[in-house]
Amino acid sequence: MIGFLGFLYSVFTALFFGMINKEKEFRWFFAIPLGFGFCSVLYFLFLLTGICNINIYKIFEFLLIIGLGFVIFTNKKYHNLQFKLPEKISLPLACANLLALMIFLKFYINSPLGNWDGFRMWNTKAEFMFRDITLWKNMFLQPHFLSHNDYPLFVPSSIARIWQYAGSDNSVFNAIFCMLFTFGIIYFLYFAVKYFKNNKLAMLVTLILMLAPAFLVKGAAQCADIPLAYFILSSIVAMFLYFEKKQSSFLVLSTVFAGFCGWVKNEGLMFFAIFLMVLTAYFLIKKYYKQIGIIFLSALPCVILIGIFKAICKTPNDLIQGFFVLKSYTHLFQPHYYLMIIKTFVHMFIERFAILFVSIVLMLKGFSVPVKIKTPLILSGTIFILTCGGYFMTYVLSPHDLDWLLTYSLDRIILHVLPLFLFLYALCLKIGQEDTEN
Amino acid sequence: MKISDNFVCGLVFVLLFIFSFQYLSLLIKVPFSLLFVPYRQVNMFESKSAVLKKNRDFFKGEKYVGYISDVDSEKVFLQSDSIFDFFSAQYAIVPSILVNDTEEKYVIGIFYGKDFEQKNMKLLKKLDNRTYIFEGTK
Repeated sequence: MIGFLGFLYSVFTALFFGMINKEKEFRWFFAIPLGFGFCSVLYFLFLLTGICNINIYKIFEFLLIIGLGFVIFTNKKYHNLQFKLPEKISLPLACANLLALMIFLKFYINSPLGNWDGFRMWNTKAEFMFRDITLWKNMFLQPHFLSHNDYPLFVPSSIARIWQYAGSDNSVFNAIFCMLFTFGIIYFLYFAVKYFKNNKLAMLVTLILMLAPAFLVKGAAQCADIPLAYFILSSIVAMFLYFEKKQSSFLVLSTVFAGFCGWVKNEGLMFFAIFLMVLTAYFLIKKYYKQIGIIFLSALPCVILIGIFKAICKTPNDLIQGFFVLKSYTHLFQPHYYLMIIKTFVHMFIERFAILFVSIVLMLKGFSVPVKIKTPLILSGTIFILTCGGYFMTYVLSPHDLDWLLTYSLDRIILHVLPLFLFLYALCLKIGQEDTEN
Repeated sequence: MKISDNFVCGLVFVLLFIFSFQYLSLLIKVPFSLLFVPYRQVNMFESKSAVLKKNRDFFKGEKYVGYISDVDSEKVFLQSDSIFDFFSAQYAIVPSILVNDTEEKYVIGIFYGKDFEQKNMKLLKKLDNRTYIFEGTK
């Protein structure tokens, strides 16, 4: 019981940290990635200091909360902390939610310690960061490449921090953490589409994501893929808000979320780089030099953090190593690599993501893009296409056996960008608009 | 012909229902499993690592712990069962690091048969029918 209270405390403190964003509509949805992201960094930096007493961390975090609470409640602009619930959750959404929860729990029951990747990489690393905080760096000495010592520490650090408060490494806490991200992103998608388009469309798109078993399986797998998808979607939604409200704070938020992607997974680093490249190019063309400055200043702490981590882990990335040592760039001229990727993608899509074919029905009413979201839609569409292209080239240039790599990772890669795809897709659809037959 | 929103919504609901029909039984199965099935104990990773986890104090202070099994050492990372065994042992003995050799003070042995008798290793502790701790060559 005390352990569960400790767990609840760790979750609520993380959410409290995440509430510093100013957006009323999405405050709690942004709070999940922002709060856990901030806390994971805080815990990682604490471990870096080499202080042996975990209670010092807990006291420090508590003092930070007191300080933040003081700032929030004395500053008028932060006073409004209400969370907007939908007036009425429709019956189909409620039923689908119940079924999705059962599917999620089924896979948790099958693998309470996570799936193979979740267990081997993420939970083992979390054990290192929890079990003996003076020896946590031992995780980087694991000898086999399957340990992936160069993978960033958002998930292990978040889980270890939760375990510290709960006082045990009970996998129920991991499952609830994963549930928060899995169902958080589902409702975030719902609210985001509802905000930029309408309720009807939001419900339809959300139902498709909510009932996609592949999405729920990976959510329960205790891996970093669904959190990465959440950070990616948050970054893009914050970017849309920036273009709508013209407030620099949303640009900062968007960049911070993109930066955090690099702290969640190595694939997130690519998204971060593409995000910076696309926005910088856009602002350069528009001659908005101040915005470029804002982006780079916001990105700087994330770059420093990732730089510190990479310097500590001292493990070369297998892809980069393969590129130079194993000369995997020769794959670029071998067409069968391209064909195998496309073939596996089609096969996997039909086998594991067949439910997404339902989204084709949504096209029956045609397309309509409101003028006010055209610019962020083009920018985020560009980011989406470049990210997919980047993933494609990552496979082409991989030094590993491509068949093995595709079989075990392509579905996770698809999931990274799936919520973003559904969001962008929904923004282009015509359903539920006043000019259509309702 | 104009298509109404309600038609699209209805079609989506029907298709989603067809796709999800196979999962409806989970509404009964999952609560039952959560309440009455010892799902954690029967989990592969949990069962493989539990006995070592209970004895992790044996390795306290050891930075590296060796590993031996009835799979040849050069093939440990080539067979899926063997990989599961290795990483389950690694998970259990954190913060010590498991290395695939016997040149450490302690060596964890995972043997499904009687092969360990032919390895000429000094047995320090038998944890269960397949998990052993040997004295290493360090």
